[in-house]
Amino acid sequence: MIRRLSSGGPDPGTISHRRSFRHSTMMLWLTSSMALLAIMMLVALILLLFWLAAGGSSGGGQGVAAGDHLASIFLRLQNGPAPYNSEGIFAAIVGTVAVTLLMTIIVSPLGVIVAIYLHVYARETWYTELIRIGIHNLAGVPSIIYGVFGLGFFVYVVGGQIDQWFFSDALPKATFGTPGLLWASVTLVLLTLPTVIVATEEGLARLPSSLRDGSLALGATRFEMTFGVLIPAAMSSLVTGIVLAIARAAGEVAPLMLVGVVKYAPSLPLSGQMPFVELEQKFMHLGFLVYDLTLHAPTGDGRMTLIAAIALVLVLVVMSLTTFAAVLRGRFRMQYAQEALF
Amino acid sequence: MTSFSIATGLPSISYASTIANGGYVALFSADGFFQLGKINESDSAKLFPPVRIPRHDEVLSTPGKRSWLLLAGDKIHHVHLEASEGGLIAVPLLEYRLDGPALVVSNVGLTRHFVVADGESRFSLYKLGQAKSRATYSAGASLSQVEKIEWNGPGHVDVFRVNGALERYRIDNFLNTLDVGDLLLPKHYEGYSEVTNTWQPEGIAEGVEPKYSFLPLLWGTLSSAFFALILSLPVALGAAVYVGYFMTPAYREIIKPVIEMLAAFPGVVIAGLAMLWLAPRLQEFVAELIGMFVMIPVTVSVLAMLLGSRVRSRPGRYFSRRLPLLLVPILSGALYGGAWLGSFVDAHFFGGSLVGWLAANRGVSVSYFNGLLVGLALSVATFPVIFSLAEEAIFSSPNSAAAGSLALGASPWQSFVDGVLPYAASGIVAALMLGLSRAIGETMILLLLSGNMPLLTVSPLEGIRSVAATLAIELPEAAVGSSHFRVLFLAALMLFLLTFAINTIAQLVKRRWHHRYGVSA
Repeated sequence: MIRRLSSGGPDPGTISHRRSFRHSTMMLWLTSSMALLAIMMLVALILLLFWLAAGGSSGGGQGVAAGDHLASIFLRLQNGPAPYNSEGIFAAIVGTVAVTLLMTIIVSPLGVIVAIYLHVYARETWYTELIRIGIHNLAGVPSIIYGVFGLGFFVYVVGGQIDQWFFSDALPKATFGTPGLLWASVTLVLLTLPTVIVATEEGLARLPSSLRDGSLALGATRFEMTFGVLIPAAMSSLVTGIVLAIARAAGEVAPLMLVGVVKYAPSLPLSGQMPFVELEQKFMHLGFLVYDLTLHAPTGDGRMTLIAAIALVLVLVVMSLTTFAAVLRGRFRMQYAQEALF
Repeated sequence: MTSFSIATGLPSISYASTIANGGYVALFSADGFFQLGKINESDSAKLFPPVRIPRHDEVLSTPGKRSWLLLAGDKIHHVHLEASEGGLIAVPLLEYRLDGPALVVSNVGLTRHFVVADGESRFSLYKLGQAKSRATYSAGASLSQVEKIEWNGPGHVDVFRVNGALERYRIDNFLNTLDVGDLLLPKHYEGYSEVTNTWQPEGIAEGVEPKYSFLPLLWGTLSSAFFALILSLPVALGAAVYVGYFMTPAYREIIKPVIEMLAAFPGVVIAGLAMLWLAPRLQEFVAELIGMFVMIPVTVSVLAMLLGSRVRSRPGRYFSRRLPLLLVPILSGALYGGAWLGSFVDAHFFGGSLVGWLAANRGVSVSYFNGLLVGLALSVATFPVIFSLAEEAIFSSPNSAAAGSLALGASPWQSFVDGVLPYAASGIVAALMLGLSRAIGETMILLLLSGNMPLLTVSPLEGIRSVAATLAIELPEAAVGSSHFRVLFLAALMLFLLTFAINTIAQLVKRRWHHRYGVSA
């Protein structure tokens, strides 16, 4: 100690101090460049999609031609591409919308009810904790597993039983005992249920307790409090959950391959009569079309452009849904900001 | 119609059969010889030298016509053809030991089972490739004087006596069973010259022994997840640390959702892009990729060292805000420089193509669809999961310790390591595990990019086949209720349990962290 103070050499403390700051700067730069790299990756992916969708792979000028091609993406959506699939991608759009819509109709009430049960009715015990862990866990289960479950349980067990009870005349030709729109939707419901539950429960948890206490004090029953006060107040987080569920479902292909998506469906899964959908029919799907075109369509510039166009539509739909959900969630958090943690 | 004859040189011929491979004929001599002949287009036959096989009384061809059962007293020898230097040779594959002398043996339909009647008036059911009998039934009457036995459908065996009588015995159905050994242990399969782990389900080729080893699939799943994490982890964690710790919250509110937009790319879109755009270019650009991978950290670190002293005088906000802007040219330069360096090294040391050089000089086999391609695509899919959760863990950790450490003169990075990381560590581990589980479960990317080759290899330049992709390909086509169908469900269950275990651990880790620090993410 004494020697260090008395010697005229450099102060070791200062050296280590300087070194640690240099090290810190290096890490700052490194981590920051990783963040930048991620943004660059995102931008590159989107640009690549646009470029390919604009017919960029065919080479040539990018100026006027790109604009023309971009416009024609949306024309393609209406007219459909001739070379591979003469029906165009209209059927795939209808299929995607139908399966997602059906899923939304089923998952919304289901997810909200579970969230209400967990948050309003259930007491905090090891049992509810287990349910919560289970729900979070479900969100991480690979989507193909949902497909396998849908095939094994919904299609073969439930569908087979329905066929025996109600469609025994048609047997051995299966009606519901084979993959179809209904089972695809129900499989997607399982897939997206955790998303809706978690978002709704989070919304309910963020509501100030004064809302609960106030309505109870005014003589409302627990049911009235829930549906008259809590749900309207937490509506935007409810919607957030549903929108996120739709965004998740729109991009899923793997499970659907097992429970009802086909390469080519001769007719749309729609009908003019009451439920307006043919629940047992197989259907086409945008995501699956990307897969199928990538794998099977004859090579050529048209294919690349088409695939990129469909992919772009999918990505943009999911992105806008996600952004919408984020904005909604942000507004909700602001609304009850004084009660929130930060 | 023409005929020809040829001298075999065998003492006698007890049995002859054609072989599934076509064009070959197998000749057996009861004295213990086997000879293979190839019948040519020009109506002549070429005979291979005879090979010694066990002496036997009777020969039975198995359903696939690729192997034979030789009855020899109380033993049955299973002989199959293996490829060797001199062409195909007959080699004993397995020996089934019976309790009494075998009298008659018969295939069970087209399944890979056979039933033996022995001198102790019993039927034994065997599965080809399994030395132990699956079941033994006592017939109650002597089974000598039997001409042939036949397994008719499920549940009974018909016995045809020499005197013309027919007897029917009821037995339980033990067909279509697989055991743990079939799924997990290496086996000596028919037609293979060594013990292997192979996945080749039924239906690929008629009569070929179905092989259900999970190991290549499991290996494919884990190795692709490993490649993906190797690539995405440094970027995701680096970005998470920057956005969650260094960046000012106002900027974070914008940047974080932007980076998370990467999650909006569905697996099938990433896979399609990678297959159509990246795959044709990948093999030429391996060197460039490696160059970029090395150059980014090197360039950034070196420049930080050089310019760092300027930053030190104004630590914190100014640079942490504008640093990414400053880094845009640096990073672009590093990417470009890395690519240039890669192609330079490639051109001067590896003859212009690293992959081609590896294949030619190091004997590395390279396939068009490979682990590297899968890893690159899968890293895009796993990146948002890891980034988002790790960032959340870092940002919502209590910052009092870091603030105190900063106030006492520690550098920002020291404060992070000592003041934030201990709190955020469990959250980061959870993020990593959820990323792993995402990589394990991703189907479309592997389906399109892995080549679906069930290989057990460490090389990232060869094809792989994952459990998830196998399910997507094979389940729609497997016959309901068949072994294949049930094995696939078992594979799905295995995948589920694997991810379930990972997710549960991640949840428990995260929950403990939430409870301890009372933060809500």
